[in-house]
Amino acid sequence: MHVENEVIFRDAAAKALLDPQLRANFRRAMDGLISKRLAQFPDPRDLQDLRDLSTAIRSRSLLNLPELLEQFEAKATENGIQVHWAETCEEANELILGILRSKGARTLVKGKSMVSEEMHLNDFLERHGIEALESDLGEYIIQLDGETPSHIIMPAIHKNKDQIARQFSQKIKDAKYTEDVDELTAMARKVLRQKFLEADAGLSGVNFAVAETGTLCLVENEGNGRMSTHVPPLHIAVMGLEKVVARLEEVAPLYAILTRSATGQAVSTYFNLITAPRGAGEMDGPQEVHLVILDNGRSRIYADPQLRATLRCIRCGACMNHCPVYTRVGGHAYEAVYPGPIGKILTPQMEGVGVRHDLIHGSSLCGACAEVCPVEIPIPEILVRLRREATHEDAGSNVAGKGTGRTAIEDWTWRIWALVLKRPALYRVAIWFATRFGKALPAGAPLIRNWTRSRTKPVPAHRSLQERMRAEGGRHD
Amino acid sequence: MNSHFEAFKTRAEAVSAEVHRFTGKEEALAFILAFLKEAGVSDAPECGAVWSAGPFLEGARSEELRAKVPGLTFEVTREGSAAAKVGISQMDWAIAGTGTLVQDATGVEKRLVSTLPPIHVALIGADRILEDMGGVLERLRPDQLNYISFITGPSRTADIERVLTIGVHGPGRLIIVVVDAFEEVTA
Repeated sequence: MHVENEVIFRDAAAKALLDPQLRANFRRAMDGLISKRLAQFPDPRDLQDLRDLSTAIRSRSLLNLPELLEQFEAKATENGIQVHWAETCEEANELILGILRSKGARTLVKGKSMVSEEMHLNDFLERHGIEALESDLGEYIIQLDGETPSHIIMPAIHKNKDQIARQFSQKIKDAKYTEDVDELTAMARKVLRQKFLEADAGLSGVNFAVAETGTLCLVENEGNGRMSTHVPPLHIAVMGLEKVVARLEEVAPLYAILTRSATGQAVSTYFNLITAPRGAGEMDGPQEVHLVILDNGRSRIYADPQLRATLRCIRCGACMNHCPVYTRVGGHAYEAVYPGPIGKILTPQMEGVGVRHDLIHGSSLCGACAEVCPVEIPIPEILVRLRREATHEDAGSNVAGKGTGRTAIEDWTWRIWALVLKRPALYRVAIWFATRFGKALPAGAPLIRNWTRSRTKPVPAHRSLQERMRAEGGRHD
Repeated sequence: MNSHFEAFKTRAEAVSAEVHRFTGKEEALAFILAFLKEAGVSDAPECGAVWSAGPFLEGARSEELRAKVPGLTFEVTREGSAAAKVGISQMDWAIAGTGTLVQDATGVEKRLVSTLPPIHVALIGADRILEDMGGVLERLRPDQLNYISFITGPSRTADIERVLTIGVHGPGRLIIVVVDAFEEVTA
């Protein structure tokens, strides 16, 4: 069955292409990120060694995922972290609301977390009377305008400083207009510092969870991540269930390749290993640390040996920075929490391949993403697999929404195709018409124009191969 | 002499940290006193300094310092740290390859003084500088420590047009004080 109400990436992308400011903002930012990453990997052999190691660590972690999650939960619980499981985003949101309400919390200050974006946590909490404020500078900027992140690492990269200057002068109380980036940053710092001190709770994401020690690892540059974890009296962390690794030693190479691939930094400014809430007799620091582990389709992805590679992702964003499509249309055109190549394989698997088959097809399969991926996720291969899943209902497949991306036109086209190919006489008639009149078919005709929108119309030969063979005879030299 | 110092200094300075090296505790203390004075630390509002005292300071020395520097306190609270100009703390290890400081920050006061004030002064023994992260993870085990901080340079962001901006939420200046004869005075 075909799913209605699909989001059309092609139209959104076409619209984005007409915005020269947007294209300039992305082009400049992505060029910078590409060269910074390259500078971190002067020796391609060293890079490949580190990729091999990181891929092996992530693959092995996923191979033992259920056991590692159990081990992690036991250890974290022993350390005093309260672990919660959520199958859906709704469940995760309710869990967090419950934790906040049990402590009488009215305000939540947030470090950067893509999982919380996936849950649309801010909207949910606002609807229930709790203020959720983003503290990462980029996230703060987009929250002021009610936007979503356009990049998983640099959420406000679609805006330039003039746009941010105008926005701050309008939306921050007593703010003067300035295009000086240091001054803009200082304004945000001032507003957010006050909020940090007043907030009842802090929320953070998790980059890696270590099973053997029950530790949460948090990578960040601004200091807001660590503030979210120890300035307010309550700390809630959220993570996808794929984030766990077995041993602490495995974190070092993953961290090294994450920051290099993401922002071209050898290390981030801060790297925090959080194992327990405040100790007995301490006056500050979180009294309770809660961890919400979200599934949201991940265990379904995990169940498929090929698609499981999707879960190796460490969210560095390198695939976006190098994608010829993403760098031209920007992140918002995808209308998805995770944009770019990783989003093209992750979003359809979470929301259904039929609903988001526009994303699966929004790729030239050039392979740049797989070439830079620090954990070697074969994104083009997975895209091809998902293209098949969107139109077929294979018995062994576990893919969300399989077969629902097939349109009635597509269905009828293949039926007619099969009908013609099964009958040689009919086939010859069809080919006779195509060779004689195919040229006359206008490029703007319905169906044909889907192809000719960005390509020249293919013109059939004057005579079919069969006709020529009959007329000219076969040569066997 | 620690062979890793030069590499550490180069890497730390590359990420905008300021590195100073002293042969002994007295020289280091004299530098910190002069620095606090120069930074304008006083008992006026928003001008204080918070020191999360480690083994580097014996009780008697902290009394002496407090007398010399009005506005300096060793009682670290969240509010006090937020209002302070300078935070001072002792680090446990450093990583030469990346210019990183590492601290067992189980005591939350250590996190507060290194995060909330606009200037962070970090003390570290020269013989505590290791080659890489692996060496640190062998020595600091999170199963025994509630919180471990890795700090590389001052707080930074590039969220606006990828323009590097120092001092977003955390400190805008990180002053690293490396002391050669560190162990003998703390033993």
